Amino acid sequence: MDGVQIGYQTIAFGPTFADLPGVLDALAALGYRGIEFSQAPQALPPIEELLRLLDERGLHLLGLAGGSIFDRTAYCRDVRMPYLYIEAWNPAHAEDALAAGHRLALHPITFRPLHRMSAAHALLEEHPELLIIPDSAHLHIVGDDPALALRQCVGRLASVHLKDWTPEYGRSAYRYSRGFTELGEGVVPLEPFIAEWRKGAPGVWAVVEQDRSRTDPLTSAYRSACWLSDRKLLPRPAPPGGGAYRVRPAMVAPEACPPEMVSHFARTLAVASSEDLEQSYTNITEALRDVSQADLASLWAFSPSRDLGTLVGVSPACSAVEHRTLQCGPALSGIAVDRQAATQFDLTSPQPGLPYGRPDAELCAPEIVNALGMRSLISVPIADPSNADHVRLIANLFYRQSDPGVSARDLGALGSLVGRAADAAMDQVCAYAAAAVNVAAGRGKDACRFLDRVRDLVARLLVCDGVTIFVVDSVGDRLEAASTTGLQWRVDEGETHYAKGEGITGGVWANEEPVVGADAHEAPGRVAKSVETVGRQLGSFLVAPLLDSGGEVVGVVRCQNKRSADGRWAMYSDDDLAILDAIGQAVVPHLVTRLADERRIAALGRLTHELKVPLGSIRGAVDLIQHTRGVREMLPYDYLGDILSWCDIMRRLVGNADVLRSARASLPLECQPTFLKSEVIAAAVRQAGLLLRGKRFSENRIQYDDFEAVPRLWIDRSQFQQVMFNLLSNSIKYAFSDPDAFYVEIAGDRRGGDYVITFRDRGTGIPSGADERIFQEGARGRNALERNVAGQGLGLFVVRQIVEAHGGSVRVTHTAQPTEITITLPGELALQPPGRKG
Amino acid sequence: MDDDVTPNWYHVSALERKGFEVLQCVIPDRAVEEAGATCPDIIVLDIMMPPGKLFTPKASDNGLITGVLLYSVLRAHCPETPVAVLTNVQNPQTLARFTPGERLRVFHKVDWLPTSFAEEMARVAEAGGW
Repeated sequence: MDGVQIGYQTIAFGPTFADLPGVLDALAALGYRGIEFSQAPQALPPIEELLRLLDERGLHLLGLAGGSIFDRTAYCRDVRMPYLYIEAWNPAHAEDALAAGHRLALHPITFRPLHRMSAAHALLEEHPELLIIPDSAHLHIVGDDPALALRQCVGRLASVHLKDWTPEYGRSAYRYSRGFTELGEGVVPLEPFIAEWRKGAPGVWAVVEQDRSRTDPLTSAYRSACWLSDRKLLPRPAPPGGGAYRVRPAMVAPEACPPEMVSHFARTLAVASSEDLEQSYTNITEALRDVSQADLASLWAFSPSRDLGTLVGVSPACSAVEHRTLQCGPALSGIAVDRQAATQFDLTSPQPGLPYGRPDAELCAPEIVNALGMRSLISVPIADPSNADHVRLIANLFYRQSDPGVSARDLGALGSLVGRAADAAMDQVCAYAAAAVNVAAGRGKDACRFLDRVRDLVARLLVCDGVTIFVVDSVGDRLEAASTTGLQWRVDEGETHYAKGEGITGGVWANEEPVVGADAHEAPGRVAKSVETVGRQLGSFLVAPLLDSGGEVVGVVRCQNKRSADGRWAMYSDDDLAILDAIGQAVVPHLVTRLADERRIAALGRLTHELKVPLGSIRGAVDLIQHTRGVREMLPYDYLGDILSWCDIMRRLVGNADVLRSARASLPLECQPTFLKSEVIAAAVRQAGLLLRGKRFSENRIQYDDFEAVPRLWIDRSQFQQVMFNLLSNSIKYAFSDPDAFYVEIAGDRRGGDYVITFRDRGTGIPSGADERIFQEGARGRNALERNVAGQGLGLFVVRQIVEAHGGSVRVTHTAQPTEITITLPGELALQPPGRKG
Repeated sequence: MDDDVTPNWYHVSALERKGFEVLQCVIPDRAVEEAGATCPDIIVLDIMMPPGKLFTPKASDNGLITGVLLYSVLRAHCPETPVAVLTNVQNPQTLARFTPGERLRVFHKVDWLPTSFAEEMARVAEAGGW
């Protein structure tokens, strides 16, 4: 353990500490030796006091990650920090920090513009002073190899983040962070990451981080410490307990919000709750405006990866608000997001040069604000309740007074309640989407029809003009369109498939990441293929991968032209990605099962076709031998005739596989007028001759009547021979070795308007209650298993498939002594093939 | 005429034992070329075959009805030659595409072993058709 430097990151303790000394005591007791703070400086004591608190406990200050870089630089003043953490590179923002002598450390995070190591490497190369913090979980989520990334950054490491994650909650921006978990509980390959750190950078701090704790943050810190202790990286920690461990759960600070505001918001929202996400946002915005007493409230879904807000609610409904998207970078909302704190702006007196406290700050749509006479704005960044670091919504509250009479701090606290309400609304939609997928899956086994239902669900929930679902083919060579919708948006001939990396759609397959945009030409690094954009009025598009639990792409969903409630084109937001992710999570297991099934069946089809060729050849060769002069005389027994009979039996077994293959869709029939007795039953009896001989049963014990009441029927002769062969084969098997138990009677009759074939035998019979089950695929009776009767449980399943394909039915009409199976065929078969009208 | 000569080898052998000289073609183009030069005594063809260059995949339904198309071309060259369609296809709609009443008969492969088929061909050759 000597020389191992492991610290802890405080994000899970929430935006503010209720008991910072207690937390530090507890973390020190668990064996952590350094702290990286994720809280904004406003939530921390003055830097001198913070350092004293740490020093008293033998803890090192590793870095500051919370709040804007401006706030952190100002907070540190003369104290030189080991590093200041940044998620993106903005020289204008970094200027002060660099001038103060701080080192900046880049931290690639999922769903931020800079989240892949490829982009991080380019930045490191360009800025030699920059450090990096590779994070095991974030790198794993975006598909980079954490150990390799660490190895490639040795020499530039500020620290390494040890973090685990499970995909159970999905991979969308709003939900992935629910999956952060204690070390060893997730799927991140931590062992090689740690091995690489120990080998390549033993002097660098490793910081354990867990953005969200499902229990309480200290219990999580304890569990991770135990995992590290098992690997001899920390001493064995004592279990948490006592006052110091009693830290309130992370994220929300409702006590920071005036109680009357909380109850008012809860009351207002309860009256207006809805399962419709758009309606929920409207309700939330209205409740927020009501509680905040704002003159105008707007709610924006924020996408950190695009630094873009998408308008989801405005109250009162305001026709003046034309702009539906908000580029947050220089906007006032962006300042609030950057600070991770509700921020008040005076709109009446922007200072020259530093209009809103920043040189590059600007007010979006000033004409609206002016027209409506708004004098102040409180912009409230609202974090994902599962991840204080991830702003999910922005509430902009405008007032006609310069002094709104409510504090930004109170509204910031209220914002966390808004975040929870929005999260609950999103959960409702996602739960509905997953349930709807499961219902669709229960409606049939066919993959294409299942995907058609999923496609319609996506189009409905995301409100878009066109949806196409592509599926990776069986060999992984290309994406194939499996379902497409819309008249104008039906996928064109040239777009029914994509190579990996081809166009935007193939690019999503290659990168395993969604792409959202307004113009396909602008999709980064991709040239759109044909009608991904050309020739159509493309308002907006969203292309997202369908990932299995291992992160492999199974398919791609492409949505085109989202519409807002008033019918105008809208941009896809991270909400849409979250809903699509929830749908994808529910779809993929069903889809994978169905595709595997269909591919197995297709392979079976190829196999049966391949088997028919050698079978035909064997028959041909034997026939020639049989007819070679002198051969018959040389043989003491008709062995060659036996070979031909075995070929017939094999042909029937292959026929079963053919029916099994076709049963998934509809069984193709080749019908012709057929006499049941001479062209079906007699042929089947001949084919079963060898089975009879093998058991020394007499062919004479198969009796069939004249079928006088049954005319020639339009049936598939070969398939019906299969039916009779399967029934006879069963009778032979279940008579076991008793020649007296083998007796079969087959009769044909007309009953009402239908034709009826009854098949009776004196075998072992059908167990009570199994008369339906025996027709199911793979069903085998207890007798078969106990007495080692050969078979796969396909014979009667095939019988039913064939009979039903002819519009008939088959059922057990007597279970034993005799066992009787009755086949009923519609009377129309005397006149025409099945399924033909009139 | 068939796409796979392996199982046909026995039919060819049986026909040769009956004294026929057999010319096998595995693509339709060659069959048409040969028939254009000299009409044989009997033409034997299958239905499901690769379309070759003579027919498009679309026209031949991806090879499912190549025999039907080929028959009409061969018939134009050899109007009097008996044609035996030796096939696994039993679909009446497909079989109905052959013009009825002409010198043509369909033989299902499962029902006709090589020797009996060759005997039937010998009988047809001797009788000059069906």
